[in-house]
Amino acid sequence: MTTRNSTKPKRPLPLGAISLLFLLPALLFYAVFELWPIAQTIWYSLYDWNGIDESTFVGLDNYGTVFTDPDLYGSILHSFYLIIFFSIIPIVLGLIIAVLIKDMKSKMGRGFAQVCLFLPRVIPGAAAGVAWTWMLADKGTVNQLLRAIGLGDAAHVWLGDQSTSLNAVGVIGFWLQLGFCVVLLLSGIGGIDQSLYEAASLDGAGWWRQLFHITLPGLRGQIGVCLTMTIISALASFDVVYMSTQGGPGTSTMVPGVQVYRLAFTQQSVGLASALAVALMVLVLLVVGPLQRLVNGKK
Amino acid sequence: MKIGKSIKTIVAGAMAMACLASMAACGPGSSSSQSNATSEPVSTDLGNENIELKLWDGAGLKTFDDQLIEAFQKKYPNITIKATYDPDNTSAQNGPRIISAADTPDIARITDINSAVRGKHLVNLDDYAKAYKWNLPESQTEVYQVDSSGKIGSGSLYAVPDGVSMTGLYWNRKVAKELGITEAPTTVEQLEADMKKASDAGVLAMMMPAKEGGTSYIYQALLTNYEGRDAVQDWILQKSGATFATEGAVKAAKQIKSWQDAGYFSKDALALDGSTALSRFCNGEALFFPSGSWYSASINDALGDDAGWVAFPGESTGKESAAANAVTAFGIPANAKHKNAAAAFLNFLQSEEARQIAVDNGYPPVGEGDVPSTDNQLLMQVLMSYENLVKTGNTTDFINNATAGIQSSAIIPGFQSLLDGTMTSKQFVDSIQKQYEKETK
Repeated sequence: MTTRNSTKPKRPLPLGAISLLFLLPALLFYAVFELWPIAQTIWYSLYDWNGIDESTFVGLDNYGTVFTDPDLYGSILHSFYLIIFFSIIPIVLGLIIAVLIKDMKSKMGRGFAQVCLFLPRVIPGAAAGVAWTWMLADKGTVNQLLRAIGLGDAAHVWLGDQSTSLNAVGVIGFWLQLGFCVVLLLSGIGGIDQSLYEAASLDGAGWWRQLFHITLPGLRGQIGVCLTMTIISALASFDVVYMSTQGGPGTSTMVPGVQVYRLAFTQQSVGLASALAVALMVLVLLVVGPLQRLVNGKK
Repeated sequence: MKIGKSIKTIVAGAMAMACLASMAACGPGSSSSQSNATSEPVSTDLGNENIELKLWDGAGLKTFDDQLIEAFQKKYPNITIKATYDPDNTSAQNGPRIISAADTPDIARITDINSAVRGKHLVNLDDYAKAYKWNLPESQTEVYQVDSSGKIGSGSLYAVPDGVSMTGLYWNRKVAKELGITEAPTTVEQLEADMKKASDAGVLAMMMPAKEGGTSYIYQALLTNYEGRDAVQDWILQKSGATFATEGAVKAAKQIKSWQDAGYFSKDALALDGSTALSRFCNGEALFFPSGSWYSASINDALGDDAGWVAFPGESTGKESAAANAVTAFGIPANAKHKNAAAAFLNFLQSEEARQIAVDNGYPPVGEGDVPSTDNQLLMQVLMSYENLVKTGNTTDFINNATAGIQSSAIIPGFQSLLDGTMTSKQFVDSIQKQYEKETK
């Protein structure tokens, strides 16, 4: 880059400045609607404030509460647990499904499978939360199925039992994320050179070998995107939990998203809610940042 | 690379600037919104000038409010009221912001009287009460009175109710008859005997929607039995020294848990929400349903003459109790433009006409006069039981309203944990008191 710049010294403005000019409108929006609210949230987090009346400066007290109140840090732990359902399982299963779809002979079948798998993604999380609440109820579809195949003893009030509720919420999340992962991974597979597979088959490499040596390395970028998006949606989940359990029974499914909303708007502790939100943001960055590096860092 | 670097610098710079700017200024929130509060001398004379009032309430009450407004406008032709409604599940969240806004409505639902009065967002109604000679029973206005030190329970009046919401026990006469039960229980002992009978016969004894905190109504009745009406009300009103951590509270919790263990509630109680519970009860799927007057129209429609209502039984006959408060408590925000006209509406809420409208909409009326007529037999039972309770004074506000966050942060999760055994009765009681102390400081 530097050499090219030095050979054309007559450029009126440096490339960087021109690029910035083009970026300016978007940057302005970004600053007003993203950076400014973030800065405000950080500011609020240092106060004890009910959202309306006068506030008192409390320094880092709110952060102390976030990390010592078991209800608050517990909600953060729940959201990390949800990563298993929101991210890991959908990506692993998504990979297998994407490869299977790729191998399908019938074009119609391929299209049909893709549409079916992607459909849940079109449904808003809130609506999915309500629908699954019915399906997971005592007399809901899930238990009906279990009873129909003679597993009546395993039937459960899935969302109404502290031992199963977080997993049940996780299943809803898995159902929502799977389609997204499949479609993204499929598009990635389409970009892998077919001749690689042919060559591998000629050399006698089986299905699993092809998966690990051609498909997986070829999908590195897509997997990175999948991981990033799904982990963020796990850590920042709100709609699914709010609609299905509101954090209960007890506090077994409480996640930071719902907790922040509740603290700020029901309990009118805007300062504490902001502190939890900031803590969550930092945690998301700490998880997603290194991940980006891991997946995209080395070419 | 270059672009990346310069963006980073700019972003960092902007962040730093923003932080600095805000740190330098004073904390968020101030009392500046009160600058446009106008004061007009208190008067009951509204003149002939055309006045447009704004009213704000929850969406579920639109029919009720529209009828009140229509009748009021007929009485005062120069006043029109424009009403806006927020969805019921968000009105509590929006309430504090709406009454403190610069362009606040003239008449507004008061969702949290504590913060409203403490923040000086409401007009003191004492002068209007004197001018109009308001005479509401103490039990209906107690929670809207605040003294000069900001304590609720006595002092100046800040809001007027338009009707009453009360808790009580629905029972299905048809199901009861099949079990050989002909009378509604009047003591807790009878209630427990009836539930046992139902349970032994394989009938669901009590519809219990614990997903959204429906357990608290019957629990509060037991609590009132064991601790007395005043102790419960003092705790709700945040009187100093009041505590939830009492033996009576633990005893009531143990009793609820024993009902759960005896199988009196449905297996999915913890995942059961209020509206599903209602539809199941209307379907004849349970003997008892502890709930509130707000469902009387739906249950009367579904069960007809089989629908019964009885006040929550006490330890002995005649000691019935209920949690009761306003359907909507209307107050006048300090920033309201037409305070006298708004007060005329609050005065109208106490008229015979408005009391009839309240009953027509399924709510016991405010005041103490004769019970207005209704052809809903179930509502009639509700009205009669409320009339008795006003006489004995054995009503409290809802424990769910003790603080703004107690319902969602302690009562709902607490009852769920109590029922499924994650918390002992003592832990449950302590968890409620802990959240209460967190919010009242």
